[in-house]
Amino acid sequence: MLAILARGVSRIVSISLLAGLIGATFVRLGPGFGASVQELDARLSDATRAEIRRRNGAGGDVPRYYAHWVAGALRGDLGFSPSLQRPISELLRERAGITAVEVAGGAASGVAAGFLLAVALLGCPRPLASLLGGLGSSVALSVPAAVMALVCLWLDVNPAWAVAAAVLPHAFQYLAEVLRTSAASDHVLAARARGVGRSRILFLHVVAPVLGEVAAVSGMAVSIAFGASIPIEAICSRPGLGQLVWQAAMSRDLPVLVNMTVVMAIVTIGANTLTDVVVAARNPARGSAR
Amino acid sequence: MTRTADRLLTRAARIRAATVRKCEIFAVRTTRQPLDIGTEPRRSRSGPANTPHPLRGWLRRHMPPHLRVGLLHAVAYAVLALSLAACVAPALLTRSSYQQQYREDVDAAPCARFPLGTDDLGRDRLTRLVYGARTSLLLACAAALLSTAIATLVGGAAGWIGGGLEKVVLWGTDLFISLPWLFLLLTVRALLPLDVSPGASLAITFLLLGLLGWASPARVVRARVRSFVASDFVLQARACGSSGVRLFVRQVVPNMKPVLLAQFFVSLPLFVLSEANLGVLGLGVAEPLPSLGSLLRELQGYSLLSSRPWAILPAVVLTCVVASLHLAVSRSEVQP
Repeated sequence: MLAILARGVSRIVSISLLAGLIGATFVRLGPGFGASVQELDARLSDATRAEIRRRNGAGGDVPRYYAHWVAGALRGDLGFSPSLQRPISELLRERAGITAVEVAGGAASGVAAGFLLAVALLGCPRPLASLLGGLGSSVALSVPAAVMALVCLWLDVNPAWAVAAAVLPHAFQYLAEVLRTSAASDHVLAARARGVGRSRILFLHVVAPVLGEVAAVSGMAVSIAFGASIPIEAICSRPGLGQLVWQAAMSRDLPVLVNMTVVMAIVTIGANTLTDVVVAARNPARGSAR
Repeated sequence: MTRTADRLLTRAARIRAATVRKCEIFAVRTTRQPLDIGTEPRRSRSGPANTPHPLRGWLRRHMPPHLRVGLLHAVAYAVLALSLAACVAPALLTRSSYQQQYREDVDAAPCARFPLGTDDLGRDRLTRLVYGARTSLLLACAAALLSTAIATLVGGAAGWIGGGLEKVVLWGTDLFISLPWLFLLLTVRALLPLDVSPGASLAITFLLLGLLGWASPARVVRARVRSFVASDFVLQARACGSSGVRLFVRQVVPNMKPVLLAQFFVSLPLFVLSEANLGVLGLGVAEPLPSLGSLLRELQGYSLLSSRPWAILPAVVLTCVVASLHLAVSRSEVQP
């Protein structure tokens, strides 16, 4: 388990640093780097436009900028946001709580709802279960997160429900298949042959063995929830990290984008490493095999 | 993340294989042992309760097995056929151009002339919906083709050559998969110039989808190519003197066809949805060119929806089309 943890931490560090570097390079090489909405103002002269472009393009030397950023990050200084005119560490501190609650709540609710739905459909006749499961999850997978955010606005409910709705079909599809396989396994057949009660079979012989899979899905759910939180926060005007990404992308804020790339990589890889550790703790043989 | 995703994919494949095996075992057991251990009484298949409906019987006799589908999938195929008609011949379904303005009928309610009414610039909503569906679907196909081609090149080379290249490719896919897809798209799209023509914005959007969507298919392709490296037919081809690129192109690539087709079709709904998300956020296809995503932007004026409920139709169409794609893909996975 410790080996998995150590491998996970080294992956988090290496991939996050690489993600930051690639993010900075993408931003710098983008043809729109240094351009801003101000330039579209028809009243500005060419000289003013050139000055705006020069100012926005400052800091565009990627290696130097990135080395400076890594050195600053080690001291706890994440840089300064040119578009929001505030230190980035302050921005992240303010907004992380909102997004954390939204993502954690949405992911947990989505996985829990998906699991309960999968368990409920296990008791339904097979044609009805496949109709409801197949159609329901296909339709739920087909609604963009942005539309879910709009639905939340119409209904005046917490946007975390939109995050949960984005996670639910993914969790349901996977867990329903795992539960179906568990229900068809030999020990369940044997238990039925011995006359064990239906509810006892369901909870002890079908559901209990797959609880580890629920933990595995949770890691994936965090990544999905984080991705969905961007359009949801942007549309619902929630001052979280998703909205910060959106604002930074629209104003081509290089320092914020690099920091957010690293934060996203750390959160998603961290969640999956945690999942690996939980699964390894439940089943050491499988963990060491992996 | 990739490790968990890999594990989930492997587990899902194992589960599918195990399910098939268990079904076979169960079928053998139930034929050998007439003892019913299930909770429901089994009915005789030849009894009157199971006599097929005359129409169903006729269909069973006259329809080829691969064309027999349930009602749900039939509806999905019908929706896809309609979408295909919109892509191929939008003029058949509409009477005007998507940018033609009827200034005397601004914000009109549905009527015989405009079945879905007009928008706040006086443009026919039905026409824009049909052309928007065409834009989204055709360019999602183009993006899926591009991403599958890149995945074939990158994943194929990694799987075939192995060694250091394989490690680098796996690291690259790890990196791409660890970042949320929409975040990547949003960041890269926002870095492109602001004042581009509608045609350029359309090309940029779907080039981005194609160029950034290669990571997951590349992992699948790599795994498949690795399995071919040690296969008998490749060994035989090597023994016959074929090697290098020729062996890869002549022997491996043709055998990759099912995997590549699956990756192409799996990417389609993902790309349509991504375009929709970008469109709602204003980073998709630029006006006046319609796409399913840009049509959804109108929904942001949600306070007006109570007076214009028909404006929600693009969202309904998008959901139906993508759900149909999902259903069609899931059926083709079950019955290749």
